[in-house]
Amino acid sequence: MFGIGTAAWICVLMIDIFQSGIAAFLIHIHQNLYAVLLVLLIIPQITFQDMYFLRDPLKNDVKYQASAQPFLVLGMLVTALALGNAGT
Amino acid sequence: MPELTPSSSLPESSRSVTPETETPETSLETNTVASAVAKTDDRSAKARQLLGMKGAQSGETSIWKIRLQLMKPITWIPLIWGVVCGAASSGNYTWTLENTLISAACMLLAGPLLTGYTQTLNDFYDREIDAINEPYRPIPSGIISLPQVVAQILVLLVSGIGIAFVLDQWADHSFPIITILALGGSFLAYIYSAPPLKLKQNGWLGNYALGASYIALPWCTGHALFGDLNWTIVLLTLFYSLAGLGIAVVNDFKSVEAIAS
Repeated sequence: MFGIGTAAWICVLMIDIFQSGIAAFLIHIHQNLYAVLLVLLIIPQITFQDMYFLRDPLKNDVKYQASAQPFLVLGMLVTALALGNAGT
Repeated sequence: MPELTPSSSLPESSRSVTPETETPETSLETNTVASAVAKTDDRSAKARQLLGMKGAQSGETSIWKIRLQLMKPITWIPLIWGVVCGAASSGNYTWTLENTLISAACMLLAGPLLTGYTQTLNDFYDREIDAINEPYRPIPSGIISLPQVVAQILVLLVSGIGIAFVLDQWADHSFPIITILALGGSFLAYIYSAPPLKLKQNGWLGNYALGASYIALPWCTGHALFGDLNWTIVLLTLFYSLAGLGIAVVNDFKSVEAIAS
């Protein structure tokens, strides 16, 4: 459907934009500390996207997942704790 | 996320068995160091097989190991994590023995039972394609019979729904939300793998189904177990699942790679 390069960019943008949207929501419900933590966990993912995935999506996909996913997963817990704290 | 784990948690991408290539050729090695390395490789290949990971070894004969392999334990981890997130976001989780046991039951529901069901079901419906592309996999290789596979799918599904019902009773839900989530997730797993819908053949929709199954479903389940599930949580986790969709598409690059090579 898309070329490999375009598809890689779409993936990366979705991963970053939707997590950032969550961070924005956390600010909206006044969980600023958790929002900052979440952003700090998104930054290494963007770094790995630039270092590995976008440079050679076919060769580096597995290496990217292994490096970046722990940060995404920790971001989920940070978000969960923020929601629990806010009583959402 | 879906594949929120390091190497591969998606039904499509986590192909578990690699034939000969991973088997060390010890007979040609006289060097002891090399054979020690080979032995370690051999052991880790066996572990990888049991976990349902790529780069595993074939030739397993124990039916229970085959069953476990079909359930792809490595893919349970993100779902179990999702339950933890749901318990945390409920804001009501306290570290009592009772809560710990109840959350363990919820993890059993999300991981071994319903993800195990999903993975076995997926392999069942993939058996004809696998017979051509990956004939060494458990079902096409004939190492486990079809009635045995169907029995496994049904046992996992029924126990999963059963535990969901018990959890609803524990939480005093007047509306059995956990049972409904379990039924909904099981149905989603069915239309993902089975004809006529086979959502996984539709790139975006199939991958969003995966993303939501790995993030929104276990999260909402954990939240409903310890708190009140509301639309904010449902919509927010479905939004988060869109990042999971991105991850699921990244996992598809492996298949592109395989086709290319």
